[in-house]
Parts: sequence; structure tokens; C-alpha cells
Amino acid sequence: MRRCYAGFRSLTLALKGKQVLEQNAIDSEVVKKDPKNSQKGCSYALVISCAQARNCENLFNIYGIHYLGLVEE
Amino acid sequence: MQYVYLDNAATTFPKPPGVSFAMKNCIDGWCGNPGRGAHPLSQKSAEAVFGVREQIAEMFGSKSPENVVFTSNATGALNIAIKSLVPQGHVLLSDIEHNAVVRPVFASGLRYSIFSALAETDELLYDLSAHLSQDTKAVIASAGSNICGASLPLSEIGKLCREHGIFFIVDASQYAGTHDIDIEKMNIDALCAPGHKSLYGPQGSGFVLFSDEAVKAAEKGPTLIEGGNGVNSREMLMPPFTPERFEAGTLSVPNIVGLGEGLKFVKKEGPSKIFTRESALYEYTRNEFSQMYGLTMYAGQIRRSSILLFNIDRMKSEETAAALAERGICVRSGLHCAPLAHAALGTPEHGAVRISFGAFNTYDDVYYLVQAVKELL
Repeated sequence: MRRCYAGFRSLTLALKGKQVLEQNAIDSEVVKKDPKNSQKGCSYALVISCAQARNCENLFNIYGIHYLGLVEE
Repeated sequence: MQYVYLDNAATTFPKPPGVSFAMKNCIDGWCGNPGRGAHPLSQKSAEAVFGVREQIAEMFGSKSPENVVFTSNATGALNIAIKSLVPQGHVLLSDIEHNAVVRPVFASGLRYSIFSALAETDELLYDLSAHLSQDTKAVIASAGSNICGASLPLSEIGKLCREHGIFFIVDASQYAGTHDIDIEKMNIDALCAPGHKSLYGPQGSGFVLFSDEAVKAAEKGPTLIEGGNGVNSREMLMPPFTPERFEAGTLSVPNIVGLGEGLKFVKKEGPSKIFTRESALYEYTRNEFSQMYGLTMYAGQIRRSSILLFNIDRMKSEETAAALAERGICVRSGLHCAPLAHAALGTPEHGAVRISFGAFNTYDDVYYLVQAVKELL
């Protein structure tokens, strides 16, 4: 599975994103990132299948969840 | 000794059984530090904490669990709300405010005016409007008094605040859990509540829930406490986003988990149903007291809650409370950290005795109370 990371500024937002994805039957996992070493400077990210990347972005936009971008591993 | 507990306005007792079970389960089973590590216990703790944010947001009409800031109590919540939203200017307070509102306002150096909470709604709103000035930044008001039956018309005050572009900060310590509150519909900008009163969580839990508009202003305001929170660790300043901006240090996960169980209890029972039961006990007690000579009640006649304030005329309030305590009846005497409210109600210098009902009180409790008071007259 190709893995993509959706970055968030905080754990709270990452968990909110995870909740929304779960409600829409998309699996994800919260991981901690070093902001200096992450592409988008995020502290936390949701790991998802890249096949679901577009759906995830749409859901984040619909639910007003601010994310810092979505990149492939 | 069997106790009759009638001090629920101070803290509710007992708690629903699930509360202590959940807290022990957390402490013994999986309590890590949320947001500090990537290991399973930290993740599970973080998810548990987030789950309770969601419960609070849902219960009080918000779609934004990230706007829930956990505190140790309502006092902490009010300090955050007041000091972040109103760093300077003029505010309006009601005359039934608790020291948890009055003292932060005073310590902040804010100018304040006081409006009467014991008036009818139209008169109250007129009085409130008359105190508004160009420099008024907020109305800060207790939804319900902690010493008598008075409660405020939240929707009407919220509407007035919105019309004048000022914040509405609500102390819901005696209201959350016994009344339906919707921060969007009521135009409430910051809802502050303890977890350990009518939300039936443990002591050491509380929160402020910001509206989506107010949170943006709060994030630009000063912080109360600075420290680590697992985010942006290289930065010298607290992060500019909620809740992390206002949650320095380790959160009390067991307390938050316990609060979550209390919220489940309140949701299952229904705030209105709990209030109806408490009100029935209040009415029975008030009727009995009204037939006694040598007893004075200071019951609010307007927009009742289930708190009854009284004195036995020949005794100081401390003496009455002590005499009742000897009989195993738990009530509170004195000024109840609300000197403004006592002045508004005209109680004596020694204050009065407060009876406050909870979800687990029964008619047996009030029969026993009434009999004990009769013996003291």
C-alpha cells in the first residue's frame, strides 16, 4: 500500500480528522512528526492509503478541518 | 453514619458508579500522557481525551471539539475566558456573581458595572442595556445563582450581546447538566463549567467551550499559564491555536475520563428530567418551610433552580448547619463565595444556609431534613 501523510498542527486536530475519516469508513493512524523534518512542518500526521487521498482531502474541506497538506511517503 | 447529602451546589455526591470505575480502569490499565509520545498508551489516552471533548461539544451545541479547553474547575475556565477575551475595557456583571467571576475581573483591572439579575426579563434587559457603553467588551454572567433559585435568561442576553458586538461569557456552574444549553442558539461565546457539579464528573475537572468566533479572539489574547504541551516544543511561546494554547502541562486523563462518564449519565438521564426531579424536591421543601414560623427563606421567585436558601431566625447560619450536620445532614452555611448575591438577597451578615438538591436525592432525604429543621425551631 502506498502511504500518504496528512499533516496537522496539533494532535487535537489530527484526532478530529481521524474521527471524520472513521465515520466515512477510511482507516487512518495518528503518528508524531518532528516539525523540522516533516515536509509541511506539522507536528502530527494521519497515515492513510494514497488511494484515499482525494477522498480525505474532500472530507477535511467539507468538515472544515484545517490540515497542512497531504504528501506521499 | 448515614448521610443526607444536600450540598450538591458545592459538589455532587454520590457520582454515578461508572465514574470511579472508569477512572480506576484508566489509572490501572492504560493511562499514558496524551500528546507526548507515539506509543500505544499515549495514543489511547489522547483518543480518550479527544472523545470527551467531542461529548462536551455535542452536549452544548458546538461542532468544534477543538474549542474545548480542559481546566481543573470552573474557576480556571472563567479565568481563561475572561482574561483571554477581555484583556482590558469595561464589562457587565450580574449581582448574583460568584467570586470566580468577580475576583478575576477585579484582579484584571477591568472596569465593571453591575446589573440586577433578580428582575423580570424585560426589566433585566433594560437595566443591562442602560449600563452598556462604547467601551463595553463583554457581559459575564452566571446562568444560575449558586445560592438561590434565580437564573438568567441566557438566550435573551446572548441576543443583546450579539446585537451590540460584545462577548457573552457564561458561568454555567449551577446550570450545566440540569438545563439544555446550546452555545450557537444562545449566542454564548465562552461557556465555563466545572465537571464535578451537575455534570457528575470528579473534582479536578472543568472546561471552557469557546464559540468559533470567540476562539479566534481568545487565541490573540494573553495566556494564563505557559508550559509544555507536546506541540511546537522549539517555540518559546505557547502555540497560537486552541486547545493547546490554553492547556499547559499534563492533562488529568483520569479526571477527564471520569467526566466523560458523568456526561454519559447526564445525557442518558436528560438534563430536563434531572431538573424536574430536583425541582419536585425543592417545591416540597419550600412548601414545608413556608408553613414554619421562625424560619426565613430567600428563595428566588424568578426563573427557579433547585437551590433553597434559608435561615432559622434565632440561629446563625453556621449554628444551623452544624446542628444539621450532627444529624447527618450535609448543607452549607455562610456567604458561599457570593457576597454580591447575598447582598442582593438581603441576607444577614452571617449569610444563610443553602440546600442544594442533586440527581440522587429522594423524598426520604427531604422528609428527614424537614423533621430535623422542625426540631431546631
